[in-house]
This record gives sequence, C-alpha cells and structure tokens, in this order.
Amino acid sequence: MVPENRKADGCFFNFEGPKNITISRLKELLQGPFLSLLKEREFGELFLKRMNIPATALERSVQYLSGGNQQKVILARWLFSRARILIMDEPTQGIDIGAKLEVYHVINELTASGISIILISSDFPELLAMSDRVAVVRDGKILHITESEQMTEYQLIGMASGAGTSDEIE
Amino acid sequence: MERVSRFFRSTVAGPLVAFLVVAASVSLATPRFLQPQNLSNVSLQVATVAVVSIGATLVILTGGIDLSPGSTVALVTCTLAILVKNKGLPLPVGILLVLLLGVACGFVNGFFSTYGRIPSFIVTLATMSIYRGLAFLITKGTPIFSVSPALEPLFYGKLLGIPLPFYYVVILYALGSLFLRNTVQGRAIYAVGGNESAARLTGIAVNRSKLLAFVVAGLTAAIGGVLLTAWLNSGSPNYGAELGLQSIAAAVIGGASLVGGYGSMIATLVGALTVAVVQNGLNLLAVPASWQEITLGIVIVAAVGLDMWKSSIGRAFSKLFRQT
Repeated sequence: MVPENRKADGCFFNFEGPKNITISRLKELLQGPFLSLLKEREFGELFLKRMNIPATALERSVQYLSGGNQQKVILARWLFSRARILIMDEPTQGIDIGAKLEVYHVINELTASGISIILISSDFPELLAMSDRVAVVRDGKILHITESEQMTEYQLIGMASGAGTSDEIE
Repeated sequence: MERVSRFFRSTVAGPLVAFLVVAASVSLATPRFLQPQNLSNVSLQVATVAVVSIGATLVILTGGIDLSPGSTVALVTCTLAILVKNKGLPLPVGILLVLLLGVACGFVNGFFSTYGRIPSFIVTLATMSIYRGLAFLITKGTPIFSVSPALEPLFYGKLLGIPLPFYYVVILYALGSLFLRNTVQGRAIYAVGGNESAARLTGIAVNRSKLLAFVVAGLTAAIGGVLLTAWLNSGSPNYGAELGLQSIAAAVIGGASLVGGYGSMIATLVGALTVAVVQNGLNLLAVPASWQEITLGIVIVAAVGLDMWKSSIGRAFSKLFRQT
C-alpha cells in the first residue's frame, strides 16, 4: 500500500532510510531470532542506490529528504516487501517532474517483474499512459472498465466528472 | 565543526552531558558524594529505578504512558511478603508468582489502553489507584517486616566484590537493548510510536505491540518490586510511590520523546543514573522530602521541554557552527 498522504501514513520519521525500507519484511533480516543490522545496511545501500535516493538517507532520518525522495523510499519499501499486488494512492502527488519520472520507471519495473499494481490517480494523462486498463469510479461505484488504449483523455474526463454517462460517449 | 554539531544531535550525547553536569555539581556541592561508601549507596539506590524504567521506556516508545508502576511495585512487595511470610511459600515460588502478578497488572493496563480504546494515561492513572488500593486491602494497611532471611542476600550479596544489583541492571538492560534493537517486535514498537497509521498500513499488529510493551512494563515493575522487598526485607502498601514518576523522568531525561518512537535503553539508563544522583545529592544536602518531590517535578517538565524545543535549539547550534 502506497498511501496518498505519505507524511501522515507513509514515512517513519524516527527511522533512517534503511529502516523505512526493511520494515515491510523484517523477516528477511533475521539471523536466528535476531535482526542483522549489517544485512539491513546492505539492503539499505542497495535500494537507495537502485532508487537513486541520496546516500545521506543511510544515516539520517527520512524527514530531511525531499517529497519525491520520500516517495521513492516508500516505493523501495514495497519493492523490498515482494508483495504481489500493490495499491498506489496518488503516488506522484506533490513531487517534482524528475522524481515523477523515476516513480514511473519504478512502476514499469515492478509490473515487468510480474507485480500487479492498482494505481489510483486523478492525473488523467498519467492514468492513460501507465495503465493497461482503466476503471472509472464515481460515487463509490465502478462505472466502466476499458483497455486504456481504447480511451481518450476527454472520454475519461467526461466519465469521471459525470458530464455524460458512458452510453452517451460510446 | 561538523563533528561537534553531529555530537549535539546524537541521541545519547544530551543525556550524558546532563548526567555529567549533575554529577559534577552534586560533587561540588557536597564532598561526601564522591566517597566510596556513598557511591556504592547510589549504585544500590539506582537499581530499582533503573529496572522499572526499562518498562517505562518501552511504553513511552509506543507513544503511551504508564503511571502505575509505583503501585505495581507496592502491590508486589506486599504480595511477596504475604506469600512468603504468612503463607510459608518457598521464596523462589513466591518470586515467580509475583512476577506473574506484575505481568497480569501490565496486561490489564495494556488491554484497556489498546483493545479497550481508553487513553493509556487514563487507564494507568486508574490502575495506579487500584493496584495501591489492593496493596492496602491485602495488608490491611500495615507494613510486613522481616519477610525472610533468604531475601537480603539477593540484594546485598556480592559477586566478585561487586553488589548483585549491579549485575541485575546490566543484564536486564542488555536484554532490553537486544530486544529493542535486534528483534522484529522491538522494531515494531519503534514503528508504532513513530507513525501508528503507517505501521498499520505496513502490516504491523499495532495493538499487540502496544500490549507487549505494557506487559513488559508490568514485569519490570514486578522485578523492581522484588528488589525493593529484598532491599528493605519488608513489604508495604506505601512503597514505590515515587517510582512511577521517577521511571518516566529517567526515560525522558534519557531523551525518550513522549510523542513516541524516540529513545533507547542505554539513554534511559543514563537518565536513571541522573535521577538517582539528583535524589542522592538532595539527601546528602539534607533537603526536605517535600523539596525533593518538587525538584523531581521540575526536572520532568524541564526534560520534556528540552525535548520539545530541541529541534530549534539544534538548529540554532548548527547555524552557529556554520557561521564560524
């Protein structure tokens, strides 16, 4: 789960980068009954480098990272978790263009490795570009599911805002 | 200069400096402080506070608070005294039973403040009253003296010339530190205190972690109670009244944040030493008990205040160093 509000629901500001990442699968660090802090550091270095996050996050709280880098730390957490389905709620909200691009790369990397992603977004071009299929939800109901290639941004906006029913558009 | 400002930001530095300042000023104020006899007294006095503070730290790390350990200690001293002296149970059995009693006390605190959804402050304020009330109930208000001749060696005994309580403290803190730093459960406690909703979304059993912290707090309070019973060879419903506040003070002076998520065992140990030295210093200077309680209160407010203001103090420091 990559929450919409990363400050309130995502980051552990009392943890440095590695601890923020490994928290999703602490079992991986177990050596007998105990956590190996050495292993944790190795994983931390690996993932920070892979996600292009400043190495300062190795030893300092993630509160000193930019929003985009914080978001990448949370993505790294789920990369580390080996979850098979990820729910991402507005993963590119409030981060700069460069970081956005990196988030997209990570999403593609994740799906390429066989992980399914449910991407919740109000950025329509992003939805159409990233998704295989798009489900339009309005008033708590799924109105419509289509292959994203068969849908234009205008149709999407129309359906989501309720400017017309799906029948009219078709 | 970078190193200096990093030192000021590190977690044990503050408490250690505070401890050294306190110890230095006490030894300046009264030459008796540094005498070997007094130092060994302090090391005995610190044992109970230090042990009880382990549990206080865990609870504070989860973002909760436990006000009841002083009353748990009182209940434990009375129960142990009754079991051993009046009921004639063997001492080891009695100790085992009161440790279980401590676990039960902690469980009640934890259960109501997690699954019961009552703030831990209120739950433990209530049990602080209930546990001490129970202690009065079972003793009918009278202390029980000379519990057992087998008790005193537990506290006054020495191994290789070093008093036993020293070993208890070192072993328990080593275990506590190992638990916090190197186990999944320990890490979960930090995570819950750091960001409860993130912890939940990451799949951590939030309530179970909090409950565990309270149960361990009950256990360490009971161990403190056993130590106190051995120390004074007696049980009384009036014992341990100041331990609740002292254990919180130890954790907070050690830099634990009442918001949760920050703190460590070693830092709390430094905090407990500071509390004991302050108390010992005031005793040596013949300061009346009323003033000692007032001092303890002021120390807690000052320590929490420093914690709340430290980020701005830290920023001021690093700005200062960057300019020079």
